[in-house]
Amino acid sequence: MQNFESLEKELKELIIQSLMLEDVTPDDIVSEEPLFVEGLGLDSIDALELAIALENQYGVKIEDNPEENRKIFMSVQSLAAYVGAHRAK
Amino acid sequence: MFANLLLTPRPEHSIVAIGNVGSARDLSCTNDESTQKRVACEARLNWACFARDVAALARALTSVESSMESTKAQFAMNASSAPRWLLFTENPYAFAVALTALAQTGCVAVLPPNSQRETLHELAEGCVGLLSDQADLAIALPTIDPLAPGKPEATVGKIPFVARALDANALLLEICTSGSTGQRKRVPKCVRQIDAELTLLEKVFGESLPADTQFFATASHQHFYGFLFRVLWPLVTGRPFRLESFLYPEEILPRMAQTNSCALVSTPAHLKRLKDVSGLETLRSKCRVLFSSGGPLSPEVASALARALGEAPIEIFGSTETGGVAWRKQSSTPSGLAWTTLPGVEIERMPSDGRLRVHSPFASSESDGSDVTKATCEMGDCIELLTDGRFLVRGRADRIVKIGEKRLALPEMEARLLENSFLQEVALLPLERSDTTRVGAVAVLSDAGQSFLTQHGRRALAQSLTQNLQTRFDRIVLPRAWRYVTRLPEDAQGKVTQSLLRALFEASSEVTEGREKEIALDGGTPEEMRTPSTAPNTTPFDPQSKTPLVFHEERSETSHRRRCRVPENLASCDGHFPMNPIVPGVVQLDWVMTAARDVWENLPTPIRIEALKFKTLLLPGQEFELALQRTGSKLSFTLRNVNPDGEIFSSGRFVLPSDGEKEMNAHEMSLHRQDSTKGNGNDRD
Repeated sequence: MQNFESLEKELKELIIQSLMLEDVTPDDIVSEEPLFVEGLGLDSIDALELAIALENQYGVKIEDNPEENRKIFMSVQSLAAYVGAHRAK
Repeated sequence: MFANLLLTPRPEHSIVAIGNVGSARDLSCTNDESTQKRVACEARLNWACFARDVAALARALTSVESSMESTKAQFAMNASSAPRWLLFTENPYAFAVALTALAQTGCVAVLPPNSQRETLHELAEGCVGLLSDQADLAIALPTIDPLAPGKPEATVGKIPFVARALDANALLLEICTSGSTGQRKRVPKCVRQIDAELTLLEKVFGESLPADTQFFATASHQHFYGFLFRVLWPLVTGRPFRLESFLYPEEILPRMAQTNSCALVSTPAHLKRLKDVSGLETLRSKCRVLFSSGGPLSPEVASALARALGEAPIEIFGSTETGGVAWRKQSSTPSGLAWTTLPGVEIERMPSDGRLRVHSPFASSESDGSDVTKATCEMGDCIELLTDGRFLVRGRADRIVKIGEKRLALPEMEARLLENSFLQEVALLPLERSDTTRVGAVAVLSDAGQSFLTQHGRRALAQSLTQNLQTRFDRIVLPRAWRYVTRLPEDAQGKVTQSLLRALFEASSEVTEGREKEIALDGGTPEEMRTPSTAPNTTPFDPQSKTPLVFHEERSETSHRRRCRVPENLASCDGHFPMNPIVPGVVQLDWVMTAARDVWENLPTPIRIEALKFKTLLLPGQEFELALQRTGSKLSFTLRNVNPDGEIFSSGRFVLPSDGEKEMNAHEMSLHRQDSTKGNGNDRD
């Protein structure tokens, strides 16, 4: 079982790669900070792209609960918790 | 249609809107308990509720206006022109209530494309108030929450409200969008135009939609497409529309599957994602139609959706100004991408530049023609007419791009960017990546910008440059990738062309390539240096990912010259050296060999390098001339500045194996290069 910290690091790399964030390094992304708008500044198109990347990489499915999804995609930390618990690969 | 919406008899319990607003973001900023109670779980807002909310808001509007009459007289405002109200809400039901109440009281709705501060401030001019349920919009206008007057505890005086039919020529709304010149413009829509288009939608697409068809949407009603398709059309035809604005297709799918019949008003970006969601085929008997607008749907997405649902999405071609122009359902037949003009719309291809001209009852024209029922609009899209009257779209002639459903005039954003003291010149372009479009920016930095870059790095600079854009533009249209150059690339005629700009982004594989090499160069052991040469596919001589941008070439039997530019994106390498990126010597040698192999096929691997000199630093963005001279077994090269001084960056001689001499293997070659580079700046024979 992969430890939490290395999964967070991996997710940061995935975010940078899949969203074409050329000028961002993993260290620039703070695990606890919001990914969207005020934090890293991702937008609704990124949300879709990131969902695709997560599914391809970890076999994680997006829930049908909008409220839950907003919590999961809140930060790298919340994403890592979700991916850690639900990954299929 | 909309003109007599409130006069058309309708059962009180018929559903207007349905959905779970509590779980969506729509009302997240409303802490009002009664609102939350009213919409808790899956709310069903019926016709009685709608009529009451409209009447209550209409009374509130009337009362505000009568109190403003004295103000109007005081400032000698034009009392004859209809009062304008800014309207912004993420809740489509509140939106429908507000629009109807405004029309009933003879007011005009002004729809801002987003709720960014500057956008609202700019549009606030000439408006008497704001209708919004968002408390945080920080705008100095009297504000009314559209649903507040309809709440039981609300106290609106007993001003009588009598529903009336709307005048067909009355101005109903102004939609703000970016014009092709970069100026924002307000597109007027009168009741007649909206009703004509709604009638047509029902006639062409309504037949397959039973009365209980729920309209789901990912497109915003603040834009014309969403406004018409997700709110007004279902509203006037008595079909329920959903309250939620869904972010992920996964959220929509199970809700659609629970309906008897549904339709989805969406955009290519969402449909691309929807096609991969598992369980899509469960919608086959439920989802009557997928609408897509805001850009072409890729054939791959269209056919995947057709396979899962039995029908390809219906794509709508049009614009805010023209309204709907044409539609298509993609197929794999030879003309499967052709658009069919909507009934009542006339089109022609302008002989001058192939652009589409539209003559339509839905179109808004700035100049009032004699025919009030039709207007003519010229579009930025170039078309090819087919013999059967249909047409194909062949790209755009202007500089408007669509990102998601948002329209962006590149000149407008460029003008805003140039207000920043860090920039001297800037050129924006759309970057297409799979089905998503993003904005790329090529910029020439001022001295201040250059020094900011040196001190704080690329990310901080990009953030600083987009900072002032955020108060004006929607986040998704902000530039996503930056290239900093010493001057904008020009073609032989001195024109900055899209293809030259695009080349700066296409060479992005250089980034990774550059990084790998630098590891080897800076902290590398001979072991690491050897690795690329022993794996032929990743050899540093791979021309695909290595070649700098070549502008111009001259070749002869024994010599070769090419003019090139160092890819700017090498600057994003942070290893060589932080803040001061330079092109590593070993990379320059690779470029030389790449060029040599382009010119002379089957060039044997050199056995050593002689007289290698690195004289001046070669920087990202710099142009240089690479000259090669082949004499016997020697291959001499020079990399030199293209300026009149022509200073030399590097020079040297590769020694090729002469006949009979055993070819040195790649392993030894790489060791030679390692040695040579270490002696940076010194002769080495």
